[in-house]
Amino acid sequence: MLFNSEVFILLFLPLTLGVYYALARHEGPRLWALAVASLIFYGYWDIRFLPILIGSTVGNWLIALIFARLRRYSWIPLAGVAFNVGVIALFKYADFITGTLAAFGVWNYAPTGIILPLGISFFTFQHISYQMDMRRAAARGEPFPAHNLRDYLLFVAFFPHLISGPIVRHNEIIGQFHFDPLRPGLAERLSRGAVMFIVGLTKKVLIADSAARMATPLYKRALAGGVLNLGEAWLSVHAYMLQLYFDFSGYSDMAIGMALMFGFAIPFNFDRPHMATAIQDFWRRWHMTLSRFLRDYVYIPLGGNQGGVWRQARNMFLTMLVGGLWHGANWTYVVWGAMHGVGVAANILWRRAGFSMPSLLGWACMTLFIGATWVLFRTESFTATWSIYQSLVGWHGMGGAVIGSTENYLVLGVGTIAALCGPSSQSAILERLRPWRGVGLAAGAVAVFLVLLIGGGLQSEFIYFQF
Amino acid sequence: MNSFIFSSDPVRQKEWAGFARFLFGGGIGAGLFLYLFAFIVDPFDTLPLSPPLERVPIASNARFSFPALARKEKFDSAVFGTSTARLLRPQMLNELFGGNFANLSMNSATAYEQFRLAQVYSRHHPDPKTVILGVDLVWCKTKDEIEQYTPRPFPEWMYDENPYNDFLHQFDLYTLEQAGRQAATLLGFRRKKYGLDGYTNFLPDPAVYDLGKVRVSLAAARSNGLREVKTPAGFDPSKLDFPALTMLGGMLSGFPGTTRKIVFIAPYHSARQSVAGSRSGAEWAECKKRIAEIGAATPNTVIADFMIESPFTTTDTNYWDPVHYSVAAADILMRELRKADLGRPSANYLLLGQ
Repeated sequence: MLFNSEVFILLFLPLTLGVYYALARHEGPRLWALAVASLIFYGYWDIRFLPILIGSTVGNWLIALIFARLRRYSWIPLAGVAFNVGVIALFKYADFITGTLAAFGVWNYAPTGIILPLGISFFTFQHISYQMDMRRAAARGEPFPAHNLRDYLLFVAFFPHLISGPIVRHNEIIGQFHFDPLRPGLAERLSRGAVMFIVGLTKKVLIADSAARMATPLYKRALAGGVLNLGEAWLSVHAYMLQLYFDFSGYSDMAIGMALMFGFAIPFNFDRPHMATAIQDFWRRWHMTLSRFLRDYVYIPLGGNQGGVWRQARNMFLTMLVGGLWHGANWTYVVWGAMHGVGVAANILWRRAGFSMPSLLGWACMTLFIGATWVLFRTESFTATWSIYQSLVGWHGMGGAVIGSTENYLVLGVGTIAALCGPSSQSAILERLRPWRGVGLAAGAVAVFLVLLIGGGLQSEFIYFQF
Repeated sequence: MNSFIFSSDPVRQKEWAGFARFLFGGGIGAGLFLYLFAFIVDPFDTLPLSPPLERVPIASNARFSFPALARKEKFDSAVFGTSTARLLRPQMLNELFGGNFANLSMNSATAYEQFRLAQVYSRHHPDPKTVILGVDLVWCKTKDEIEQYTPRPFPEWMYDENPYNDFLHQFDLYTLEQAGRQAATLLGFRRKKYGLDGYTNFLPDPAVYDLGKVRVSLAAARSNGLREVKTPAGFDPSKLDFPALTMLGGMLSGFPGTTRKIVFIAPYHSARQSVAGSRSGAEWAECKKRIAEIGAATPNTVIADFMIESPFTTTDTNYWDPVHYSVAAADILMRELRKADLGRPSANYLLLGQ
C-alpha cells in the first residue's frame, strides 16, 4: 500500500486514525490496534514478508529480555547485532556475496532467488541501534528499560516509518506511545501533521514524478547503450537530483506528518541539503537519520575523530563505504559509497589543514560532486555512468535537450527554486505555519486535487523502497 | 523535539480547532461533493443505482465508453475491432444483415482489449444474431511483440462481472472531467460527439482530403515494405507463436452456434501489405492460415481476407493513409462483407477455409 494511493489515503489512514482515537482512553487496545494496522500495512505488500518482520522483531525482543536478566554478559547484545546482520546478509546480500565469489572463481554460484523484503534495511537498523544502545547503557551502568513486546513491535513496525524511515531510536518514540492522544494540542497536531503529509504528497506527485518523466527516458537510453548529447546529459542529472530529493524528502514528510497525526514526533530526515556548501555539510542535511546511525554505530566505534586527522579521514571513508553498501547489494553502491568517502575525507583534510573556500564555490563543488555521484546511484551500471560522464563534457555531441511541455519547465523551475531557496518542511509547517482558516481550506483543497490526480493513474513507488 | 506539540494555550487551541475544521471539513466536504457529482452523472453509465439518464458515450478513449454499450440489451449484433473496423456504420449494417448493430471497435485496441469487450458483450447477449470482427496486425503479433495494453488506460474494473467495484474508481480527474462533459451534454450545452450505437467517424473533414499527401504516405509504406527483411533460410513458420489467436478462438467460440460470425482481415492498402518473400509476408501467411483453421473449427463462421491485392486495396482514393480507408470505401466494404456472408465470390476478398 503506497502512501500516494487512494486506498491508503481514503481508506487505510482514516480508518486507522479513527480506530486509534476511538480507543484513545484505552492504552493497551489502542496500541495493539496500531500495531495490527502496521502489520496489515506491511502484509498488504506481500504477505510472505510478514514472518520476517515479526520473526526479527520477536527475536530482538527476546534477546533484549534475556540481556535484561543477564546484564553481566555483554556479548548478548553483540549476538543480537550478529543476528540482525545475518538476517540482512541472507536476504539482501547473499546473491551479491556469492556472485562476487563466483566472479573470482571461488564459488560455483547459483542465485538463491531470495526476494528482498521491503524495508528490511530500515527496520534491521532500528534493531541494531536498540541492541547497541542496550549494550552501551549496560557498560555505563545505566538502567535500560526492557520494553514489552507490543511497544517493541510498534517501535519497529509503526507504519509511517516502517518501509523507508526515518530511522527512529527506541528512546525517541516508545515513551510517546504512552502519552494520552487526546492531550491538549490535539487539533494542532492533527492539522500540522495533515499539512505535512499534504506537502510530502505534493513533493512526490507534482515534482518527483514529473521530474522522473524527464529523467527516466534519458537514463533508459544510456542503459540501453545509447548516448546522450551535452544538454541531455545535464538534464538527466538535474532532473534526477530533483526527482530523488523530492521523492525521498516527500516520503519523509508524509511519514513525519502521519506520525504527528497519531501524536508522535519522529526525527527529521532532511534539512535543505541542496543549500549545503560542503560534502560533510550535505550529509548532515540529507537522510539525517541514516547519517546519525552511521555516525553513532560505525564511525564512532571505528574511533571517530580520535587519533589524528588521517585516522579520522580513514574512519569517515570506511563509514561512507558501509553507507554505500547499505543502499544496495551491488558494486556500484560500494563505489558510490567510496566516492562519498573520498569526498568527505578530502573535506575533513581540507578543513583541518586550515584551507577555506568561498561559500558559493563550495556550493558549486558540492552540487557538481553530488550530481555526478547520483549518476552511478541511478544507473547501477559503470558503463552507462561512464557514458553519461563523457556526455556531460560534450564527448557525444554538443546538442541541447528537449524539455518538452510547459509543465516540465515549471517542474524544473519550481523544483530548483524550492530546493535551493525554500525552507525545510519542518520549519515551514511545524514552526512557521499559523492557524489561519484560509490556509486550512486551501490545504484541504490541495489534498482533494492530489487524490484526484493519483486516482487516475498508476502510482509510482518511492525510490528508497528498493533499499 | 517539537515542543509545540504540547501547547496547551486555550486560545491557540481554539484557533487550531478552527483550522482543523476548515482543513478536514473542507477537504472531506469537497471530496464528497465531487464524488456525489460523479455518481449522479455516472459518465460511463456503469454504476448501479445511479439515476436513469439518457447518457451518451462520452470518453474519447472508447475503452471507458463501450462496456456500457456492450451491456445494452437492444444491440443483438456487434462489430469488434480497431480503427480498421471503426467506420462500419451500424445503420447500414442493420439494413444489410438485419438486426440492431453496435460498433464496438476501439482505436488502437490490442487483441486482449477487444477480447475483454467481447466477453462483456457475450455475457449480456447469450444469443446474438451477428458478430463482425475486424482482424488486423494486433491479432498476428508474435509472442515477443504482443502487448496486453496500449499506453491508453484500460479500466479493467468496468469489464468484470461485479458492477459494485466501479464505485471505487470514480474519484479521479479523468472521471470528473468526463462527468462534466456528460453533464454538459445532458443539459444540452455540448454537442454529442459519439453515436449512441458506438459509431464515430474519426477521420478529418473530407474537405481537407489531399490525394497527393495520401500517395506520399503510400509510397513511403511501399518503400518500407521493399526494405523488409527477407525470409531467412530454414525459417519454419509453423513454429511461430501467435498468442492472440488463442483469444480469437475463445472469442468466437464464446458465441453460440446460432450466431453468425463474420471475420474479416482488414483491407490495408496494397502498398502496406507484406511483400512476398519477406519475413513478415511469411508470418502473415501463417497467421491467416491459422485464422482459417479457427474459423473452420467454429460453427457458423465465415472468414474473408481483404488483405490482398484487389480493386479495393489498389484504389488510392479509397484511403486516407495506408491503413485507414474512407467513409465511402467503408460503404463498399460493408456490401462486400454481406456478399462474403452469403458465400459469394469477389475480387476484393478471399474466403478462407471454404
